[in-house]
Amino acid sequence: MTQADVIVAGGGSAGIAAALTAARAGAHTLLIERGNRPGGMGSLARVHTFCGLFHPDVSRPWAWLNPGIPEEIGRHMMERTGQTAPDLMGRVYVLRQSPELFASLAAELCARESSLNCHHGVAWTGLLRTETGWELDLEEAGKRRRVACRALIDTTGDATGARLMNPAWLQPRPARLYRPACIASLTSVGGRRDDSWHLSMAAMLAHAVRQGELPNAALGTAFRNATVNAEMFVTVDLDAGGTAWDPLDAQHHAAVLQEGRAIIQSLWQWLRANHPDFADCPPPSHAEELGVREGSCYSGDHLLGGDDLASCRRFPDEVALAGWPMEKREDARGPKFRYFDRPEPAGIPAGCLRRQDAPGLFFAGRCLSADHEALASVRVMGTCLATGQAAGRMASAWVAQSP
Amino acid sequence: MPAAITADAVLQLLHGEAIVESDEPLAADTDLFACGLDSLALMRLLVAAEQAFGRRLPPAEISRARCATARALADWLNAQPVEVPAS
Ligand SMILES: Cc1cc2nc3c(=O)[nH]c(=O)nc-3n(C[C@H](O)[C@H](O)[C@H](O)COP(=O)(O)OP(=O)(O)OC[C@H]3O[C@@H](n4cnc5c(N)ncnc54)[C@H](O)[C@@H]3O)c2cc1C
Repeated sequence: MTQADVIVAGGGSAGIAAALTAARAGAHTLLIERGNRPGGMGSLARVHTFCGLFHPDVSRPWAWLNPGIPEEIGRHMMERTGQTAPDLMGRVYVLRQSPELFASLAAELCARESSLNCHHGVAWTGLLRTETGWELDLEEAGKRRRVACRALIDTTGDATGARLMNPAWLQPRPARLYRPACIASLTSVGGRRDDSWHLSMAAMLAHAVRQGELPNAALGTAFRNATVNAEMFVTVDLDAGGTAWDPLDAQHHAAVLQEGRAIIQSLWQWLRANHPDFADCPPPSHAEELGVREGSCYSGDHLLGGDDLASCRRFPDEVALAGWPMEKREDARGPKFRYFDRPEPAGIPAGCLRRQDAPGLFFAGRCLSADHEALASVRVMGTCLATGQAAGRMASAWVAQSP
Repeated sequence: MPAAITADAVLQLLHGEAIVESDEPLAADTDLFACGLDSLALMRLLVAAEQAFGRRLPPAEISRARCATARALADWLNAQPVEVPAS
């Protein structure tokens, strides 16, 4: 049986940061990812901006919020995409990112670490507790095997460990999960896409929906510029059955992805026919994964709440900083923001990443211990990189301390 | 002559459809973009306004100024011919 010091399950933003951190601290680390490449939502679902990387005070020049991996990845992304500063969007700084570059950058950084092994195309399907740590069942191309570790970091976004071992470690499911979305890239888009471009696009789409030329669901569409000039991303927020939406129901999940792609496809056809900037636009390149904003979360020693964030609360044992406003996307009304009371960061304490009764288990990213409202802030990729890094530190320290 | 659409009627629509959220009550001249009117909310606002007031807002005419306040929206709506009976 393969034996590692630390296993990181889930290779999204949080998992990449956790694995790099643990490996750099000297722990023999294994990163397990179901998809064919790293990046999670930031590559497989084509989420294309890094939020939460910067200090929330936009009256001052932009500054990195969490040192270490979040800054390292942010700097690499800026360099490789030719950006010299983040974009100022209203009351926040954001960095445009390329999903392909994010995946290749993560793979490169991981390959440089001699004590880190990455396995893609491998699903984590079972969990056992042993005297010295944990054993995980893995499935790869129909074959099962078991690996053991002393510390386990769950960065699957869905609290897989809790669901496999003890549902009592899960937080109760909120009445309504944040909406999922489908993203695609559009290339060879002409025109200068400034503020008035976006306004007139909104007016055209609203008009087309009113005329019955586009489905009602097209009202959930948002466009964003990519890091390359003639490329755009189109994101369609989906109702997905409202309160019935369950991202962990494979059939429901697949149906929503299909529905999202169909909306984007009809949107593309309509744009090609009606908008001069899209006359030469080839068919959309769809993300392979549905964008899931909320799955299930752990209930840890501390439950981070919306009020903790809004009041910029700090903790003696904080391990990362949050700075993104709570961006709640619950219904067709679009996002509702709850900003922090002051333009200052809030702390995320170590207790959000562990449970006393599960020693050697850590969790980070969008399945850490935060309530529904706080998750609307801490789920962004910049913050996931920071909490992943913190979990990597906690896990390697755990391994170093335990006999 | 159809009755002119007032800024108050637009405000009522904004509230009724919960297009934007604001800590202070919205007034005829409140900057809607500052209250979080983004492209998603704007699309819903345009569809709702066309439906409620029976006018068609020409997409080519849109500008930030025309949507920035309830008063500006009322003016823009009033400049359009009545197309279908208001619902
Ligand atoms: C539509 C949409 C728009 C968003 N917009 C932004 C934005 O603009 N800016 C921003 O910063 N954030 C945005 N987010 C949020 C952000 O993308 C995610 O919350 C973030 O990527 C979560 O990172 P993570 O590492 O916790 O999880 P994920 O990125 O979800 O990574 C989890 C990984 O675990 C793997 N995995 C899951 N289960 C298993 C298993 N059993 N075995 C093996 N591997 C497994 C998955 O394949 C995945 O790669 C958006 C999200 C969505 C859905």
